[in-house]
Amino acid sequence: MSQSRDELHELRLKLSGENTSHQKEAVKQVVAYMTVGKDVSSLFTEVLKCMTTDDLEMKKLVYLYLMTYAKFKPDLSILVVNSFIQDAKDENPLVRALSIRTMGSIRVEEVTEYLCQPLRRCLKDDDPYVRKTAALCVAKLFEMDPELIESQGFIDDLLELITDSNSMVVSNALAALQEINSVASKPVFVIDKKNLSKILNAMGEANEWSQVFILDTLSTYTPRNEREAESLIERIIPRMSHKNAAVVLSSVRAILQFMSNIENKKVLETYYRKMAPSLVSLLTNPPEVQYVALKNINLVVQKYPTILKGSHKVFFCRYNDPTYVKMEKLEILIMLANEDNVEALLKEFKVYAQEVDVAFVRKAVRAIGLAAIKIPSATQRCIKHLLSLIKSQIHYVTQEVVVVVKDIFRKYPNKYESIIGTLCNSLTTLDDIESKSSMIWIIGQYADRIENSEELLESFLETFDEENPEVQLQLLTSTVKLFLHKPEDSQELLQDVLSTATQESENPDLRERAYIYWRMLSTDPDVAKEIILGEKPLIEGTNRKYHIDLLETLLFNIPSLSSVFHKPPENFVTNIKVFLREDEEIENDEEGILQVEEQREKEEEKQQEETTTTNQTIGSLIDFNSESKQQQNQNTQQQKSTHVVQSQDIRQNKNNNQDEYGMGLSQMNVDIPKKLILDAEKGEGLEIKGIFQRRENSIFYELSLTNKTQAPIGGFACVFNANSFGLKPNGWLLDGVLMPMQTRGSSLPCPIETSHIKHQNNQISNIVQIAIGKDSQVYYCQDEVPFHVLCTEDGKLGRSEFLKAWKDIPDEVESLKEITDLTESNSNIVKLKLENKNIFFVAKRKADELEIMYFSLKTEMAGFVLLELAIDPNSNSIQLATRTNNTDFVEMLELEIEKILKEY
Amino acid sequence: MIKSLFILNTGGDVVLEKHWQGRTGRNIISQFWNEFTKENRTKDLPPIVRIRRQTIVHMRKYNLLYLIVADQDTSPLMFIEFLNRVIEVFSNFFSTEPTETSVKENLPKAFELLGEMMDNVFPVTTETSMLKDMIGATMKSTPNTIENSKKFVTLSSDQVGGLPWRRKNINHSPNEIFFDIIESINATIERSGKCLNSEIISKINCESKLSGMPTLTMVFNNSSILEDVSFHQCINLDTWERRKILDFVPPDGAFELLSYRSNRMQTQIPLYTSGRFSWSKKKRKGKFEVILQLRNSLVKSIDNVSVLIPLSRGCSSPAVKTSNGAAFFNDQTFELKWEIKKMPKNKEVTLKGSIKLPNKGEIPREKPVAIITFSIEGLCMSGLKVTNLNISNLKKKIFKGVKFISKSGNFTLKF
Repeated sequence: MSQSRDELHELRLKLSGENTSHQKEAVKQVVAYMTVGKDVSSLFTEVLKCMTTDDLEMKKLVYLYLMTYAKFKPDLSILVVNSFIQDAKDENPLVRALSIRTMGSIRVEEVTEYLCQPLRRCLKDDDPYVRKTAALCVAKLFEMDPELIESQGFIDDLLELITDSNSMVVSNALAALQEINSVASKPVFVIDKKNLSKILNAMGEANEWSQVFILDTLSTYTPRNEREAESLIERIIPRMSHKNAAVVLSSVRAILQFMSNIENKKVLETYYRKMAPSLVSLLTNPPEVQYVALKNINLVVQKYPTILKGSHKVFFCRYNDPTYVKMEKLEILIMLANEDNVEALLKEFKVYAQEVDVAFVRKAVRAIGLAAIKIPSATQRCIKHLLSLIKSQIHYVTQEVVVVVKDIFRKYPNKYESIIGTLCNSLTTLDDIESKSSMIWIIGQYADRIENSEELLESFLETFDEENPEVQLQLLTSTVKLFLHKPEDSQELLQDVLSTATQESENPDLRERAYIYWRMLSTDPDVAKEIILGEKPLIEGTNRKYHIDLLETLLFNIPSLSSVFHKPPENFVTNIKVFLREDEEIENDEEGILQVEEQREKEEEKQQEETTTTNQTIGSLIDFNSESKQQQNQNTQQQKSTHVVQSQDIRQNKNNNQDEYGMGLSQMNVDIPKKLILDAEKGEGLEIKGIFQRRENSIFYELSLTNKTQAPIGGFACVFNANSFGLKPNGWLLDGVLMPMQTRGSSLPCPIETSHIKHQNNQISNIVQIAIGKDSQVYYCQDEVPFHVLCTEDGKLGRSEFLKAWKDIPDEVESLKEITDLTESNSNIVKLKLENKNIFFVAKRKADELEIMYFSLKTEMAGFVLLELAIDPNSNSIQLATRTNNTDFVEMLELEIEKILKEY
Repeated sequence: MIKSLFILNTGGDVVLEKHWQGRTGRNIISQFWNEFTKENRTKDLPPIVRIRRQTIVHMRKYNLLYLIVADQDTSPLMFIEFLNRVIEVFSNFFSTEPTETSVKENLPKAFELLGEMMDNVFPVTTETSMLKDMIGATMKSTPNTIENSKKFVTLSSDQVGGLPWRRKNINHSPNEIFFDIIESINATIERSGKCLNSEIISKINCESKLSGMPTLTMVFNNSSILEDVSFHQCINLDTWERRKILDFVPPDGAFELLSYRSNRMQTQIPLYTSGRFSWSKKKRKGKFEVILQLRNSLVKSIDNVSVLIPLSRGCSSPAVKTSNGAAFFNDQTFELKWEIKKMPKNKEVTLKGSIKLPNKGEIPREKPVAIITFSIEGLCMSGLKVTNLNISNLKKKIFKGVKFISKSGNFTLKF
């Protein structure tokens, strides 16, 4: 500590000294410290003084420093502003530009106002370098304060720059306008007939990055007629040979957009031909670029399947391609498969299926199957390859083959069933959901042709209860099919499955499907047979993965993230509007999202309720000649016989029918076993168990005392040492005496007293040291205070309060923790578990595959604590983000939450 | 749009962070790092990932990990290309590969460069030669003289007027320009020696030391070879589109003029390759043989051919026999490397040997591959020739030259 203080002191001396070379060295050192995360904000005033330097390099470093710290020193920013305004008038255009650029990046509101005047001057500067920098600065400020920019007329200044004599200025002005368009509520700039030619000219002369911006702006233009579209395309086509892949892709997007205005097939054909080599040559770039290119090519090929005809070899995977490139290449190869190249492709796929990477191998097997479905003439060959792959005996290969074969059957029924035998013979364990359900589907569908189908199915049914719902559904259907094929062999099997599914399953889908089958079978088995075993629609092998509307959206967004993740842009835009941006408008938006969420949640709940009630009604309506009725009868009989049993039964019924989660959990938490804190040996015959609990707005220490001696014990007292939470019972423990072998309970109220707060060894600890007195003897013991008992009942924040509080706490203060290996990550359960402990649910929303939940809690010593839980249902893990002003307790809280979530 | 750039070392520590828009907390970086270092992901994690509603584009080069954090739906390709450019500019300015040490040593310069390369969210000046003028020149100058302020003025108008990639008033003596046409052959060869697939990925590198504003035109014997082509921004794309000749004012110094890809080969692959490989389950051994032979009448000999066979962990290679050259087994990387100083003409060279598997574990299902590297001067696989190189606008004696190199790209033998 003292060493670094010395260093800072020395720097300070150097900075305020006269020696310019020392000054420069010191500034360099300050910037170096800044980079490694050392706090050098205390040198603000000294560094600021160096701004008057004539040395450009040093000036840049000072600017860099100011950009970093100005936000934290708004009171001093005014000093900074003065120097900036001076520099904006400097005779050196580089300095003028630098000052404008930095002012735009500083993002301190106080500065923004003072910036207007110099900015206006610089937009009209003689030097084009200054003008273009000023143009970009307008875009920056617009993001911070749109009203200011509009009211000051800067937008008009920008529009004027489009007619500037210098192409660099034009392209930067366009880039700025485009950026403003993307954040503004309504577009401030549209391309029209007047500015179009200006823009096209600028594109020819602009540097590569500006070309990207211009092309992207251009894509939004709708040509007035076919001829204009053609001439625009002609202007853009040469850009597709640009070295910069971003330029190429933006050109492709623009051309694709304009092509939708052209109907002449012949003209379109020539454009396809010109586009193909550019797309292909993107693959000569480094793998990162290839990845993005492949993702985009994928979309283009979906829309225009013939565009890359004959280029399949380019997509063959290379030995040292990264897996992410290989996966994408394979995807495109599948799309390119046709009669002519299928031979070569199958050969490649077979090689891929022998590689090491599991995901890639599975995809390769899948590719063979897709080729079979897409190209009927190649199916026989594909099946040959698949069978030879089965021989490899590698379980994930076999599993994948099963899935693929199922699809082939669905495409070509009654053609290739001869291979079922081989398939059944080489079955190893299937542990993957999809392949398991596929195999079960095959068994059910062809139950009449598979000799031992009932045995096979029975072996799968053994583990029915533990299966994934998808597999359970398939098992149910296949058993019904088996029954329809071979009623005499499988009646018992069917009975079992139907009653398990209707009575024991918690999955409404499964229950209902079972009921439907049951009803169908009991009403008219022949009709049931007709329906269940009826002819099924064939599956189609198609290139198009996405619905045409989505595909169009994705194509329109070609160079963007959505074309990489193949998700519509809203996915990314809505996401950022949450908590990341700081303008007012978006806050409203955010609330909108939350409200929608809430509504949806309510609807879901309502729906759930409805399903449960319908279930019950169906249950009572259906009249089977089955066990269910018998059971009902039994119930009525029991009701008559004894009252006690009846009431228990009703309670059980209730439990079964209602939302399983709620009841189960709250019951379980009522009686938490107490922990042994003083054993009989140490306590000379007195044994004490205890647990901290919270009820009725207060904390209690729940104790049970047992006398294991032969004599009565009395004179009890209990004192806590000063502790981190300030818990202080009043000294009372138990009135009267404890008879031999008697156990008595006691509730110790533990109010929090600030005077009693003391951190042992200066460390926050949840351990409380306890002194127990009995008959003038004192025993020492200790116990842990679970953090949740400190959470008060009034810890629930409203959405807007939460949002405000969240923003008020800077990002840096946020603490992150990953909670993995959860047994259960259902958001309802998470909510229940936490609310049980006074950690209150605020809002919920979905982001990609994550479920993000917000909670608030309040403690007496740390005030409100805000939590964000990003639940990843796939990996059963939760990313916990905690924001609070008092970070001392965060670690303890995080551990507590992990504990709560992992509790059963 | 791009918010921040982070450069991390191999241990995940931040070497440099630059923020263009607000400030990105390091939280997200540590979260990315956890994701990145998860088992087997360092190589396979796609270059674009979403973490906590933000986009991270990452790239590894010379043991540094470059991360761009962006928060809107914009062109990730632009970020990737920008990163490539940052790495290129750093290499040029530090006159060494950007490593942890060299970045730390040049920290102020790195910041200065990044400040010039990107303004707010817009990449601006990313050409080394232009950046050299903006940063190098002003650094040395003593300010406050009238001359200097004039210099600034010309400098900045250079930046925006005329050509984005070349400044005015360049003077060289002697004046010279050289082109290297480097063709890399990517090929997958079956063990029988049959070529499964092949392509040529090529580039033309140029080293230009010309004064003033020279205009060059370059004509090729067969422009259809350049069907899949990407050009440096100095090339006039419209002229190429119309007349299939290159018309350009070159940047000063070294740069890549163009790159192209071709499937057509005018001449035989110069190196014939075949081999065998088999696992013996009983002996827990793999036996293999690699045969190479020079097979191209245009080539007299090839120097420095090497064959690399990466083996799985725990393998060892006790017995290796070569007809020419020497073979070594690196027990750290588990790679067997065979190096041949000089390939004889009309004679097969062979490598035979067996590798031992560790005593425990499964017999690998897949066979290894052999990666072959070679380089031949004077050979041009695609048949591309420069028939005419004309330099106008420069009335001085000019030395010019074109050199051909054919070499292996991804040249693998699948046993």
